Amino acid sequence: MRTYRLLLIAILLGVTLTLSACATPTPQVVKETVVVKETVVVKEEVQVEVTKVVEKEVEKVVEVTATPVPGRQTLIVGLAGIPDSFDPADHRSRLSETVLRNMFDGLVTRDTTSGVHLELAESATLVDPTTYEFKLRQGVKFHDGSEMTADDVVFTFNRIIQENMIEYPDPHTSPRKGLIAPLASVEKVDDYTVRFILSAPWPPAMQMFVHQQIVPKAYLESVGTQGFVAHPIGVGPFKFVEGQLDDQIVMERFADYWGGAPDLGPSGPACVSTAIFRVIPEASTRVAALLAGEVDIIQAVPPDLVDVLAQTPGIVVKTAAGTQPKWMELNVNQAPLDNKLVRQALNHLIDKELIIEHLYGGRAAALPGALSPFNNFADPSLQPYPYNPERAAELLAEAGIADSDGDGKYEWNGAPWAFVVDSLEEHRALAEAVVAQLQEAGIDAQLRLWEYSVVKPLLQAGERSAYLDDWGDSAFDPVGHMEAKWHGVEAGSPYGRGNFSGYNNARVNELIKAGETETDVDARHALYNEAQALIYDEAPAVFLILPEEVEASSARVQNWEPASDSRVNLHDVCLQ
Amino acid sequence: MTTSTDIRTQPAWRYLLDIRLRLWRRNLADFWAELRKHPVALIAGVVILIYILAALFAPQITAHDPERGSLRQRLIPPAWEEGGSWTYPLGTDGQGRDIYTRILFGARVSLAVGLLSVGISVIIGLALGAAAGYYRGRLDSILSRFADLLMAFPFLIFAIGVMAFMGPGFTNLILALTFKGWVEFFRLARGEVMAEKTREYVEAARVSGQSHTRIMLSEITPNIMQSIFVLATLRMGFMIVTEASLSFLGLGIQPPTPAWGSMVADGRNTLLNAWWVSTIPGLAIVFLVLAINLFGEGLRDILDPRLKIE
Repeated sequence: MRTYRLLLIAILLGVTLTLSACATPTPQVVKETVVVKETVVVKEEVQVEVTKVVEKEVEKVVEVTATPVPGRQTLIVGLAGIPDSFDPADHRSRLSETVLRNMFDGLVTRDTTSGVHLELAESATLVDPTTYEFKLRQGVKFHDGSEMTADDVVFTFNRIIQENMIEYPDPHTSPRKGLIAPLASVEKVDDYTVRFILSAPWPPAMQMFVHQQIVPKAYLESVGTQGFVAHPIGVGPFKFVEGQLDDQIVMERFADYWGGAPDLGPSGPACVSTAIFRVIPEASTRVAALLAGEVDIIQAVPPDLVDVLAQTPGIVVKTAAGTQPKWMELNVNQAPLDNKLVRQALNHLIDKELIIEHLYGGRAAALPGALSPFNNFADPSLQPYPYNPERAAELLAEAGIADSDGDGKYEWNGAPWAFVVDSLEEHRALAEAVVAQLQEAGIDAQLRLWEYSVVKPLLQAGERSAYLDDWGDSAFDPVGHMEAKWHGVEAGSPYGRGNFSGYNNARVNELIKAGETETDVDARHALYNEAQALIYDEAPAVFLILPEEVEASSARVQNWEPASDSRVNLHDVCLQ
Repeated sequence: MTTSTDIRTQPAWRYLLDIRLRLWRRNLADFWAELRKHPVALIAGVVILIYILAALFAPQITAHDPERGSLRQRLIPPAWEEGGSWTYPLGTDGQGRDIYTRILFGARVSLAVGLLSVGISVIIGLALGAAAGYYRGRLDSILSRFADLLMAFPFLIFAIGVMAFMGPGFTNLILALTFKGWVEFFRLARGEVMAEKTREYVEAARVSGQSHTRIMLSEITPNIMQSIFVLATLRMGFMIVTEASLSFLGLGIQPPTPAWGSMVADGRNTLLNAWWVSTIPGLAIVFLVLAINLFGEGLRDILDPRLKIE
């Protein structure tokens, strides 16, 4: 019969496809505990089946296949945004690093909290206060099979610290240079030894080296940056297969992976065979994709949906201490915000606890000043400004702002006191809550949402009044943060690059610069404590909150923890 | 029996006014009679009227502040749901604001945007279209090519571009919508004027020595107003949807001013646990735009049966 023949062909096709899918088994010896069911058939008058359950440790050969049936070994991550680049030297975004860290390794790496561990470096020694010596691991292979040597490390760092080393699309200097600004030069000692010469002692060096990943010199020189970003090659646990930054990026397990940082998790090639990073910017879509089983891990779960996910069987919600503190910077050069008392009063007017409890479901911390409370140099004696409208009214009265006509609104200079709070769409909920609280207090505050690229020049020109945003401190060190946010603006330098309040205190500047090079930990604490106390008192911003990093995964995902620096490390992750 | 229409006892202006009023009243009566034959349009008209009244009397109907809420009262479900309360009949949003109040005040934005953008588009489109259709020649070619150029852009993409360039805000929103909105009216007016221009009454007016401007204004325009009116009604629904889309994208009305589009956007992240935040403003848009479109179609059937052929 025709139908039967067709059916037979279909079945044959199916079988062939299934077989071809498991065509390349990789034999691997593993130790595991197995439950052996022994069926003993006793031939007597009656046949009795006896099942003995024996637990024992055996060594057996299992075949790890590319696509086991029926489960898959493809792990899909729902990314909260679009990465900037495939080039580890050509971006300044956390999200790019989240993805690239799975294809590239660094000399050192970080665990899910703030600990730094050796990765491609076998040892790191501080030869003198301004010289680090790294011994490299031997036998580490790039995805193209070539071995990583000191030449690649020197090339990688020169490409970042020297001017105009990235020639595509237009010649420019690596945006990551600022992260290792004190690095003056890199020298090869022998094939597996590299020396880093600093311009001055730099205590956070190891934390900052985490953010640079090694690229292959020979490959990059032969294909150029343009060719490199089309097909990036690193030494990481996954190699690039295909994909686009704004869509999805597909990687597959690199079989010759050197093993990964010995301090962190199991060694050897990655557990899953394919890893996909899929861009899903809309938070609710990301959550829906996880609920539908389309993705296995999602970043940035919105606080309102944490409970929905936590109550869903088969979904696990995990949190890590956040590293993106938020505040509302106040233009210290604009009346009446140029008065410290007014700025302190505004700090007393925002009920942070109310916002944390209701808007963040308790998953955030109030900021005790300039630094995140989790920063290694945060001054534990500083307490967040308490919500105290009475104190605020006193301070405002002292500054000449009062409700003179009794209509419940503050007047300043004979007119209702009004200003606009600027922010970005991503902070909308918080910004609306803050503005509502200011209005509640009797200030005619309005909200305006901008594109960052549009509002940034206006902020730098000091044309705006109040700006609500965040600034990451994933290194848990004041460097990268203090000099960017609270140091006075020095054009063309990293100092004050994120300073939108116009705050410029000579003593604070001095302390921040001294802290960058102070190697004695206690002395460094003292410097930063003094700076924090000054900033707390002068309040160039309303210190708001630090939300926790909330991520979620399917329960099938094993060995995965969210990281404070938003990294999604897939090397150790397995799927059940 | 003397009546007010008696030309011998009344001044002429009074007589003419009276005729006008009677005509108008009769037209209205005719219109009403026609409308009753189109029950769908009638219901749609009533719905629109309710929206207009709600927008006008919003502060009288509700006790809440549309822009300020309390975080302690956030995400309360609508009254009929478990945990809801009649204090917030349609629930509260993520900032603890009453959604019912925000819908009422949001209606002001939507209706104002619809009326203003269409109104300005009609004035510009009609003036340019009538001139182009009446005088033809180079003026017509230039205007028509320009109109064709604008027609080539998708409306929403064009509006997004204009808003991104000018920045958000009510005035800019109206400008962005009218910048391209007049083209439809231009094309309609131009075509109608070209057709009317050859009719006998226009010839008669010309023979009687009326100026071109006067012919356009008092002879032709009243005769094409019906089609313009029908198109205006239909475009209003479109403008309201476009405004909502822009506000949804954060390019329209700025928060915390309530606009339905931004209210829908507000609720995106809570769709799974608080469906009402997005859904209710979404329904408000759907019902208003549906009502306007159904009313517009009824109007078309009544006023301008020729257009039915489309």
